[in-house]
Parts: sequence; structure tokens; C-alpha cells
Amino acid sequence: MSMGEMLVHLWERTPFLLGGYGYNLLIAALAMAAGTAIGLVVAVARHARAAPLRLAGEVVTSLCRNIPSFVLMFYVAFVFPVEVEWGDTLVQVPLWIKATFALIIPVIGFASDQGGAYLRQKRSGLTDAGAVFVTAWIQYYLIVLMASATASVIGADEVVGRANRVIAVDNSPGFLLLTYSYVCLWFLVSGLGISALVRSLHSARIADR
Amino acid sequence: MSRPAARLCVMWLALLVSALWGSGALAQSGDGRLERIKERGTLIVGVKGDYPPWGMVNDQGELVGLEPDLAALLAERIGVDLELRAVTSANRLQRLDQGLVDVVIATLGDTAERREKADLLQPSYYSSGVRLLTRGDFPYTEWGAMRGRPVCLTEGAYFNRRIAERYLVNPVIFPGTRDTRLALQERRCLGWAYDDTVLAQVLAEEGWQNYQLSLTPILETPWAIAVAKGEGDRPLGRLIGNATVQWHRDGTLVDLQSRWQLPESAFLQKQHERWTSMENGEYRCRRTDSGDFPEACLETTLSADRSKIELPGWARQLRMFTGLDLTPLFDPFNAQRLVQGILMTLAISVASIIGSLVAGVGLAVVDHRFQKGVLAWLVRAPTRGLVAVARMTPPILQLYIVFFGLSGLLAAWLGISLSSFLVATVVFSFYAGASNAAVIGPALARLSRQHPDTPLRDLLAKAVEQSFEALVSIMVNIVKAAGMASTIALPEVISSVNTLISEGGDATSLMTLLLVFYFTFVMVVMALLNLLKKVVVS
Repeated sequence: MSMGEMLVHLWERTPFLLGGYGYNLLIAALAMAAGTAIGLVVAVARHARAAPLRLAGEVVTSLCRNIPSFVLMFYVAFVFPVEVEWGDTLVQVPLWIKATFALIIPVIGFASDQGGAYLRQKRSGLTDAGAVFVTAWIQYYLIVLMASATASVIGADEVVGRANRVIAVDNSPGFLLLTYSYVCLWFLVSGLGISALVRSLHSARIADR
Repeated sequence: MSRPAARLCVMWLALLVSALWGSGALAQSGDGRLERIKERGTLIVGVKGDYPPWGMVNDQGELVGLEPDLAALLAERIGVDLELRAVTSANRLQRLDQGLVDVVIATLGDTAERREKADLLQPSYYSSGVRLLTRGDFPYTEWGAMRGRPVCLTEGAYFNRRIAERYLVNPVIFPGTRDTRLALQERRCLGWAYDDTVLAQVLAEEGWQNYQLSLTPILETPWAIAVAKGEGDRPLGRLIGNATVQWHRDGTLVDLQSRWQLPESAFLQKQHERWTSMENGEYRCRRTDSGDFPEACLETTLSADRSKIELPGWARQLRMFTGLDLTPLFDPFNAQRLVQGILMTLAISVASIIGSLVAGVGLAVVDHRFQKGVLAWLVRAPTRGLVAVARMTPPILQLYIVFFGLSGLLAAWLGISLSSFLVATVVFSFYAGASNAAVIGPALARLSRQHPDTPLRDLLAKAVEQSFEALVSIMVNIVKAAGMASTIALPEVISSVNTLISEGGDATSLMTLLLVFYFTFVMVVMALLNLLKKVVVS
């Protein structure tokens, strides 16, 4: 393919790729939501009065914190069930849901740590502990979003997997470079957007004082 | 904390733990698969998407090829709709085992190891051997000459282990055929050892005029349609076996072969003669009273190259009580591959930690030094751009871009190919280094405002010391991310474990073991870095 043909082809497949990127945003959002909910409960457990509860909280947090999400991707792919019974029908678990499960784990570790820090700051009378938590949370969303790109290794339908299908038409290093760079650009724009959001939150917080 | 909240916590934890450990058991129930297919009204068949003309993706994104055609014939025979799913050599038997697909028709060679993982149906519908795709100027004539030389392999192929063991080649393993093709073009190996049926197709494509099939075919193997373990003797297995016999008798397979422009296969010819030969007015080859085909009518499969592994007592006990099956680890060849994988993981982790510190300090210093004038535009702005790109794009895409894209162009223009270790180290160093710079930079700026007269070196040491806690967590993250290098054929521990699973190891056990390894490894790295922190601070 000539450069022009490559660009035309890429433009034609952009809606397809964007759909894949939508999955990445969704996977990351769901993982953040579920992981934060569970992680905050774990954080509360770590600060509980009962010693066994504290211990359990610590163990879960350190498990979630120390196991790489890339390894968890393979784990859920191999070990989690493929079909679940829903009433009378068998429902297939889509791979992107499995990828979400893999990403929930590190988010639990993060939310447990940040939730704990929030509790301590709150107890010591720091007023903007909540804002600190929100800032860290938004930044972590970016990290989880980037980690969602690894879902392609287990065959989940997301942007890298779709990019590979687009590239399969030609398979030249040039077209591969172009397609991957194009996709990278979206991540970069999302990242810059999120950074700008964090900065504006930060300056709003300082202005509030 | 209140009682209900405490109870909620315990519930969540129990849920989490059971989700992690107990989930394997839910997958299957005991009904015959054929019943389920009829209930569902759809036959789900796993076929290849990257193996023309057997299974490939057409311009409309549909799966087509000889094997999808066979799948359609099966669906028609059962009287249900057909759904095709793309599978790869590495995952096809897992997809079957997981129940994601009912049947696999995906260029699956019939081997003893695979018969332990799934029911491979008789008779076979095709056969192939292994040859080496090389450049035209390939000087060798024997497989023995490949000893110690880099040979590209595609993950999941049954012959990979035999080639590595028998011919002692230096295996360079990629996750899919696309990656392996690119690797061969980029001179990452002398040749690609793979199925001769595929290699012949590749040779026919544009851009492969300067390549050839070298060395004599080895390891000739019949291909089988597979169903999940236990289904072979049930109605689904019987139905497919009978269909295959009919395809040999009425020439369906020979017709498909010519429709998909495959060279004539001696195997199909032999099968046609065998299954149509008559004796006393009946077919000589047909199911006996027991329901099986006579031995003489079937291809003999390759026997496993190694003897059964004898587990030590404690490992047998462990398997009995926990289900943890460590069998693959007691095979010396596997154990050696696993140890090499672990060492490689250690090496890439250490290299990336050092690289990320160097990159972090370097980027922070550049940012600090060139604050004014033309140099700020020429040096500082691009550095900041690099930091943003390195931090905010997924490292897995960075690996692909550098390894297959940039390095591919380098190979085409200058004939240089960058090793996967080098590419991974550079990518991880910049990815984590950019984050390091984002921590060191502000500390450096603050210190230099406070002590404008102190030399840069002292300021830098102080800045690193002050940000050490943040640096430790970034470095721990890079150790966790390093496994991604398995996607560019770095033979590290995740790739070793995946290889063991694709060769028949128990997935749940090996994956659990991998989790335990990583958990321990990350804990040790963290402890060492904290120790280093103490030394640095004191």
C-alpha cells in the first residue's frame, strides 16, 4: 500500500477502531467502579477494631497490590468459567468482562490504600482529604485505561485487538506503525485530558482555601 | 466499626476469595454436547483466522476457508445454524475445554499429548509435515545444521518442543503467525519452522519471492477434528466421525482442496481409496459392532516422545488434596525452560529498574538545564513531549511499535534487527523513567530554588533521596509490567508458563503457581528497594 492508501484505509476503519476504544473506556470505568467499592470496604476492614478483620484486610490488599494485572489477564482467561447458567439459559461470558475482572484486582489494592490514607487524614483533621482521594482516583483511571490495552492478549474485543485485525490487511511494518501510532494518539489525548482535569481540580482546591 | 459493616466486609472478602480460587469448577455439566447444540440451535465451531486457505478473514471480516466449509457441512448435518469463532494454535484446545466452542476444526495435528487434552476424532481429514521457510540464499541442507541457531516458531504448534529438543535449535517463539512472519522478514531468525501447508501459502503471496522451503519435511502428522474430552464417544463425536468418512468416500475433501487451490495431497488420495474399498459387498472400513473403526483403517498417531513422568509422593498428595497438578515441573526439559524463564524475568526487571532510574534522572536534568533560550525549544520541548508520550500511551503498544514497526523499518533499510531484550528494556526504561522524571523534576526545581548555589550533582542526589518512596513504587510497577515483554518473544516466565499450558500442562495449577511466583517476587523486590532506601538515606 502507498502512504495515501494506508491513510484512506485507516480512515475507513476508524469507526471500527473507535468502537474498540469504547470498550477500553468501558472496561476501565467498570473496573474502577467495582474495584473502588470493594477496595473501600477492605480499607474499612483494615482500620477495624477486630484483629482478624484487620489481618484479612491486609492480606487482601497485599495480594491485590502485588500481582501484576498482565498475569491476572491470563489467569482469568484460563481459570474463570466461560458460560454461566442464567435461569435456564447458558450465557457466555464475553472476554472483555473477564478482562474487567482482571483489572478490578489492582483497583481494589489502590482503593484500599488510598481509602486508608483518606481515613487517616480525615481523623487527623485534614479538610481536603476527599479532594486528594479524587485526584489520585482520576489519575489511576488513566493507568487502568492503559492496562486495558493488554486485554488483547486474551483475545478480548478492544482497540489493540481491533487494530491487529485492521493491520492484518497489509502486515507491512509501515502500516503497522501508522495504525498503532494512530491508536496511541487516542490514549495520549485521553491522558492529556485527564491531566488537565486533575490540574484544574487542584487549582480549584487551592482557590477554595 | 459496626456489626453489619463488619459482616459486609467478611462477605465481600469471601466472595473475592471464592471468585479467585473456586471458579474453575463451574464450567461444565454432564449432558451430551449434541443435545445442548440442538437446544441452542447453533453449532459453534472454532476455526483459524490466520491460516489461509484453511481458515482466514475475508474483506468483509468474515471467517472463510476450507475448514469453515467443513463446519458448515457439519451444521447442516445436525440441522442447526453455524457460528464460527476464530481460535489460534495456542488457545484452540483451551477454548474447547472451556466450552467456548463445541468443535475445533483448526489445522490440529493429531498427537498423543493432545489426545490427553481433548477427544481427537477419527478418521483424520488431512495431514502435513514441518519444513523451514528461509531466504533463497539459505546454505544448509540438514536439520542437524540448525543446532544452536535461531529458528522462529509459532506458539502452540505441537512440534515446537520436538524441534527444540531433537535439533537443539535456539527457539524464538512468537504468539501468532503474523508476528512470526514479520520476525522472519526482519531477520530475527534463519527460518520459520512450521506446517508445510501454511508455508506453501505464504510463499505464494506477494513479497515472498526471495524465500524458499528448505530442508526435508519432518514429523508428518494427520489432522483431526476435536471435541471436548468425553464427547468423542458420545453422539457429537460419532456424528462428526461419520461425516468425515463420508467426505473421504464421496470426494468432498478432494473437491474442497481444489476449490481452495491447494496442491493435490497424497494423503487425501490414499484416504479416498481406503474408505471406498469394498469387501463382500460392504465397505472394508466401517464402524465395527463396538462402534469403533478398525485399527487398520486409521492413521497411526505420533507416540509421545517421552515416557510418563513419575510424580514424587508429596506432589501426588498435593494433587490429591488441593488439585494442584505440578506434573510439567518434573520433566527436566520443562523445568529447565521454566528456570530460564525465571532468570530472564529477573534480568529484564533489573535492566528496566536501572534503565528507568538513568532515564528518569536524565530527563529531569535535561528539563532543569535547558529552561531558557533556543535550547529550551530545541531540547526541552521535545523531551517533555517524549515524557508525555512515554507516560500516557500503553506500554504494550509501545513494545509493538518499537519491535515490529520501528525495528522492522530499520531491518528493511539497514539490515539491523534489535533484540527483544533490548527493545523491552528501552521501552520499560522510558515508560517508568518518564514517571520517575515527573517525580524527580519538581523536587529538583524546589531544591534549586532553596539552594541556588549548590552544584547540580548534589541537588540531584538530594532530589532522588527525597523522592525515593515514589520512585520505589514506580520501580515495583515496572517489575510488574515486565511480563508484557512475552508478547515480543522475550522468553520470560509468563511465556514459559504459557508454553507449558499449550503443551498439555494443567492451566489452573500452572497459572496459580505463576501468581504465587509473582506475588513473592514483587514482595522481594519491594523489600530490597526499601533496604536500598535505608542505605541511601543513611
